[in-house]
Amino acid sequence: MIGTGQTIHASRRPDVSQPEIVREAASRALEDAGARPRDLDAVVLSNMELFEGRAFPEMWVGEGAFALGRTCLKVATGGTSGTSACIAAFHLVASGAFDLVLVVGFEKHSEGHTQTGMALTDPFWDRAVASGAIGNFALSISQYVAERGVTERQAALVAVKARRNAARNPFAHLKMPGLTVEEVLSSRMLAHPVHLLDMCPQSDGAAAIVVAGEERAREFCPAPAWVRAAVTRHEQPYIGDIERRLVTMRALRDAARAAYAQAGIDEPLRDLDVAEIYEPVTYAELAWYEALGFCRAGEAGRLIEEGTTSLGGELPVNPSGGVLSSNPVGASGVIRVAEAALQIHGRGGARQVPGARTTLATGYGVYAWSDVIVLSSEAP
Amino acid sequence: MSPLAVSLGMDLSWRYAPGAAMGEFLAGLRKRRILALRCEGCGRRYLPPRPFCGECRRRPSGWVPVAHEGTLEAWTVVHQPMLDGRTGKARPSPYGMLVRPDGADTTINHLLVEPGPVRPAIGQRVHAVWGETLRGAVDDIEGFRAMSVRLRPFEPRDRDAVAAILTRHFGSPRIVSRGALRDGVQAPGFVAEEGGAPFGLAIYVDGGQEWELLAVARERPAECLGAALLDAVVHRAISAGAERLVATTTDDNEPALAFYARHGFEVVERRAGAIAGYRSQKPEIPETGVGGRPIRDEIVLSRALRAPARQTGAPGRTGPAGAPAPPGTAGPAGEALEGAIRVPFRYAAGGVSSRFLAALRDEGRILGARCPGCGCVVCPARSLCPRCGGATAGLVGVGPGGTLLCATEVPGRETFALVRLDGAGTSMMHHLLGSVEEVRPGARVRARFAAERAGTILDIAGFEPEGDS
Repeated sequence: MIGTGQTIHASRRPDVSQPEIVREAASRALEDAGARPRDLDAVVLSNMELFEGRAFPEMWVGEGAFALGRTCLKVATGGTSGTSACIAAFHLVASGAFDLVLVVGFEKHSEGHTQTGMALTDPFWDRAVASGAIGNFALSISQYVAERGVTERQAALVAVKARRNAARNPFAHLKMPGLTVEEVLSSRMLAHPVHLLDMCPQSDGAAAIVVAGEERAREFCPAPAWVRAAVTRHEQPYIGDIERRLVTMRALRDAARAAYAQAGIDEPLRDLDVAEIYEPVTYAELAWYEALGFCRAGEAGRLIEEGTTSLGGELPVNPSGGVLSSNPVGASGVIRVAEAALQIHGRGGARQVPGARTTLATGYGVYAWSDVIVLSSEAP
Repeated sequence: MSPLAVSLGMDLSWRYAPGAAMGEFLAGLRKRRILALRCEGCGRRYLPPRPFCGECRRRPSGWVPVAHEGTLEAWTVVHQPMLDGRTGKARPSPYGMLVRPDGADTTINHLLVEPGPVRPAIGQRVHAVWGETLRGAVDDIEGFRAMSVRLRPFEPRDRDAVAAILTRHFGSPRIVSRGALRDGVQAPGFVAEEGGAPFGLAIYVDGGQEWELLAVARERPAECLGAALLDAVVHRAISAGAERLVATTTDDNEPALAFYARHGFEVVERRAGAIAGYRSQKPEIPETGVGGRPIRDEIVLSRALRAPARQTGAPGRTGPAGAPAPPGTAGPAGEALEGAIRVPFRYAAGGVSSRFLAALRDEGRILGARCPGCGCVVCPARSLCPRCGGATAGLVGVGPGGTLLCATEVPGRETFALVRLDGAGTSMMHHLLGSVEEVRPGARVRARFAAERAGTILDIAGFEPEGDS
């Protein structure tokens, strides 16, 4: 991965159309990579078309991603779309058929009705009874909390960490440098036990990455972020079928195990320098700590309390502010990978983790997909 | 100039065929039956039924009725409007929940009916509340209502109550099985409580691959409770990766043997005369047991946790009897569900197209955007050149006259045309104000502006043959 670009993420970007917001991120990524549009061989896009209600968004925005006259594909795997698009781009390049591929993810939640889009699920069971994105999470969280004894203060600490980190990220949507645990706990209850500030926002935004084969990567980039592992796992579709949901997270655990084996990571907490994980809600970050092997079952609360995952801690998690601070869904996974890559490029600015050499990015697509990517300053 | 946006509402109509698995399930609901679909490969009983097993990827094919009661695994109160995915409208009930009905291996996502005096809690027993008319849809069940009984793991504060229950049922809290003597009060397990007072229990030994059920007991009849307590242990064991659950009883205890048989256990060993020996370890074991029968032999039973026995269905109430048809059977349940959802959208036009729309609205002028890269004039004006992919820079007036490139007509409804406006390098799609019979490709046409303009593409009413007016 040789270059990244993002737009300013915000609750509304009425100043740009969808092709234009895509162009904003795509141009920045090319500029960051030092590449020109004509260097590109292919484009991979990521977007949830039901959120904006536009058929074939890839047709509409492809020109914004410099796709005219090139291979242009869209990848759709729910919230993991962005990370899956990056994995697809990696596969295209790794196949040897393409040298330089641009990945662009975008979402303009302000233009449609995300809640309705989320409600258009399995018509036989979910539509009549499912409790929406937040309610579905809240259900799983109630069980996770009961089994692991995680407290709402520990969850609130995740929110505080995310929004304070976001204040160092010029692209982030929710920058709250002075946020306190008390403010999180006194924010409006969305769905028991999830408070407003426990939850990710809906953002308008786009993000892009330039993926290159080995020769071109060395040609363009002094410090490429080499893909050491790229794993995506599909899970059964119905929330009720998944054994204890957040407590087990079979697909994510599985993906992480496979990725660590590919990348030669024995102890993630020790071997990784930065993790950019897809945490749509504070409690999910705690559950992911366990699933990703950062700690044993039941120790996630201690990890956040001791600052292990804060900037300056043993393994900073989401120096960018994470999904909790910026969430244009189709872009959110691309942002995770871009942030994991730019830490290795050394272009993290105020959110740079000094000397980051091995970084992790994950994606979460409802419960149905889990993606894990490991990047390294060392070529494989 | 502030950027413009276009607001549109969209009606999404939908009509879905349920398919074999869901169709049979929906037909069951119409008869007030809740049917799970069992995978013959791994034994997992899916509720609602799934067309494919998520564990072993086979197509499940065995139907089993499950109870109308279950145990709450998760719940929440949603303080946002929850949208009904069939209509797009907010639903009244704010309570979401996941419940595991007795006899199923999965949980179902449904609504919790207003809890009233009983606060929901994980482990709460719940029962289905049926609607008055059953039409073969998931909301034939309106939701689940919390009952006063709750199952929860043992806590140290339960020790006295547990000791008392074990003593009444087994003579003392000490349990002998397969030659081993254990203190039942120290064993992990679940209690059933009502108003905070435990009145039933299931205790076990975590033996890795083989778990042992030490005792299931309740102080008073409560429908499904024994099954629910057993289920709690079974699912904890499955979660922990166990493969078998073993239980023991004695030869006098026909009700226990029947209970275990109903729940998929098979006798694997009969230890003839073993009880006499156990009396040296636990003198409290009486000479006679159920119905005054002598207690002599120990019976060891086992149940595979990965593939429950075929007859394993639901305990307790399951609604009217009758063998359900196998999946794939065509029938009235194959009727599709349908509905429509109204969704609002509002799209930003972006900088260049906003100026195009504003000029239409305010000045009755049509603008094109010039591409400095290839010289193309893009109309309608957009920021990206469709010819070379470059960014446009600068607007120029085009039209309002132009050349009709092609046209078509949906008889009795609308005409459509592609028009290249004078000065534009691209053509635009719009309506033709005239008959395609009379206005041929190559004809000169001219934009007619709408009397009332709002900043949309319909500020041009359409294109009419030049010379007409």
